[in-house]
Amino acid sequence: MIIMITRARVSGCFGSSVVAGAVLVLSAMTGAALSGAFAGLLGAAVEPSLRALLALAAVTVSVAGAAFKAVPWQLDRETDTRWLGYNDWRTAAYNGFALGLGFTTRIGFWLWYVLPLAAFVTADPLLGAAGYVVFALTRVGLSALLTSMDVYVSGGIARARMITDPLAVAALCALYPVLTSLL
Amino acid sequence: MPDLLTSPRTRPALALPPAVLGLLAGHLLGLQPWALLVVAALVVGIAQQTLP
Repeated sequence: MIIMITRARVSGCFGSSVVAGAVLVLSAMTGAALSGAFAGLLGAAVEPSLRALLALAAVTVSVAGAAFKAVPWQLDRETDTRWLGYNDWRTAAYNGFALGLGFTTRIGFWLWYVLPLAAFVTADPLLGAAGYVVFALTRVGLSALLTSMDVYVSGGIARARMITDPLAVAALCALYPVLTSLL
Repeated sequence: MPDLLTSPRTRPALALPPAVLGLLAGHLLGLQPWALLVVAALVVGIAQQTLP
């Protein structure tokens, strides 16, 4: 199923896997830019002191979550399998957009929470969007690249967490000095 | 080692050193939120290739 979905993301689109891959990545960048800009706008919409308070609370809850739970709070699902039935540009576009948004499917790692929180703290929709676009390019672009080379990464999520979990805690805690200066 | 990471008893203890390091780095180096955002985006994007 995983392989089928991964393949469908970059096939059956105008008969060209290159075009399908481009649609996938561009859709992911669009979804990600919207998510990042929204988080940045939310940050900009509130006073710096209130922003710092809200972010402090969210960072503290996330650090506590990462310290006690291996699996992050997430929607534990893949992208909609019905999209596979389209067999046209929509399969790539919808998958890309959903993966770019980030939170509508499995996120897998506590480190993901640094993205919306950092975008909120920057309080800049452009910076937020730019950061999320980097996420989309890495998440979906690398996935498309690996698929085009017939390379599938399976398992290893527990090993990946050994790296990402300490990084998540460190990155979240690094926000504290920034936030306390806003108070 | 993966068992350690799923245990609610040991996870808090393992989380303490990176938490202190993060606090120190944020304070001494003056890390910017956008830099954290970009680094986290790169790392989590790569890590998500292992998602089931």
